[in-house]
Amino acid sequence: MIQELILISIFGGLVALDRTEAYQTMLSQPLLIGPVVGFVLGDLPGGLTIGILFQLAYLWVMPIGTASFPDPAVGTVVGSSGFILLNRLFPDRSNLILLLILLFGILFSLFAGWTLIKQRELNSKLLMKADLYAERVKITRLGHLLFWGLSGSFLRGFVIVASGILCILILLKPLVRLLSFISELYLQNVELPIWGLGIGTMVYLFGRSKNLLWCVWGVCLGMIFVFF
Amino acid sequence: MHTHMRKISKFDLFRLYLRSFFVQTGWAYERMIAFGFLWILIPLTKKLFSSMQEQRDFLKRHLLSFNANPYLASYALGAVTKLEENKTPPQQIIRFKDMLRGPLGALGDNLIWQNLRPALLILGLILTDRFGVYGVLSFWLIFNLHQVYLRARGMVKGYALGLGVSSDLARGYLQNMTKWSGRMGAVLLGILFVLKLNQMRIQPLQLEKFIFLFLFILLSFVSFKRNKNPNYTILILLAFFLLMKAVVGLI
Repeated sequence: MIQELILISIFGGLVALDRTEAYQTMLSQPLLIGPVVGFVLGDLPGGLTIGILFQLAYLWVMPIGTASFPDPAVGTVVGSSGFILLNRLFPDRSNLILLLILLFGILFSLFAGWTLIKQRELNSKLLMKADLYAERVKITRLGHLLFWGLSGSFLRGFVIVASGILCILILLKPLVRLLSFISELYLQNVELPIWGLGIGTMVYLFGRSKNLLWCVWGVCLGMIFVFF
Repeated sequence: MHTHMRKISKFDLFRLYLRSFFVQTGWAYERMIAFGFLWILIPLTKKLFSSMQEQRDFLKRHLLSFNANPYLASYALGAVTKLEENKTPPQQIIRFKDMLRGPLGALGDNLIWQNLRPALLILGLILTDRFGVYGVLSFWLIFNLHQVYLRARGMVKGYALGLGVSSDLARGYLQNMTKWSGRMGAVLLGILFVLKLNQMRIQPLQLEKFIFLFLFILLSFVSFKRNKNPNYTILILLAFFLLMKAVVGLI
């Protein structure tokens, strides 16, 4: 268990790096995060399910310029880990766990977004150091500052993911027991609003009038796939 | 004369290219990607400037505020490398960077964040539905093949065109890529929509689910159109779903 927690937290650090600091390979997209977490924790389908749902819920997030935005990447690492771990404990409560994880993941993504703002504010100090080293032409030391920038981001992801998973185990585990009176049937199809939000976002992004014909083409192609 | 005209080799450009993957490191609100931009250019310091004063001026002028989409920043890097190599007056380089900020930000955000990334994500979702985790890997591979190419293209074009790099931004590849990504997204949206409906068709109680899916899509769309905070939209949709379940018992 501790080994898994450490591995997932390291992955959280890498995801935080990819999100804002380095590479931007889209490893930080929930669609990728879910399966990786699922693979590490031995439940690939569970990870994939959560990854898809978080992706749909956060398709609208665009890290543009100085805008503040939630950090669904770290939120998904925490959410998918929590989903898999809680499912191990309560295998017959998957709908309730899914709902709780979605709510927790949303709140946690907002919190992670706030920590990103704080980290970027801290980077100002890095810049002040850079000014100093530039003035003194200390090129090697300027190079070292990159390491500190990357370390700060990695640590942010690592700490938030580790604390998030612990929060889930401490808070959500008793909550699942507490809410055991809610029937699983009542919470069936809880993913439907998230699909609605995801497709709504896609319509907003691509459903402009100039693309309408292309949308119709897509519907026709989809029907061909389905019927043939 | 303190400086010597030294040509930048292909290897130097390749080094800058590899470093360009760290352009956002140290992003800060005051000067945005200034630190990352400078860090990438560090190998040029001693290569292009021999005196301490010139090196100091070089480092300081690239620590001034700058921003660009990370995937397109290599256009600016290539062009600035060319200008520094040609000993262009510093004030002109600073003005040139200021001029590039807008186009590199707007074009990149439009291409990557608003069109290409969501379009490829929809493709990833469709493929995941059919091929499981291989669909996810396809999304990742396609996006990265393109981003690696885009960054390399930016470096090469920027270095080749120098001050004229904006002409490449205004027409050609980037504009076409944005247009076709939008179209691809629209086609894929149509396909995904039909596949999702078909998936629901084979489950019981399909009519109520259809109605509610449409309702959720509509609510989300209106919320985006009205610039409502999407975080609240998610919570409202979930609350609405639970309420409907409790009151009507549907879905």
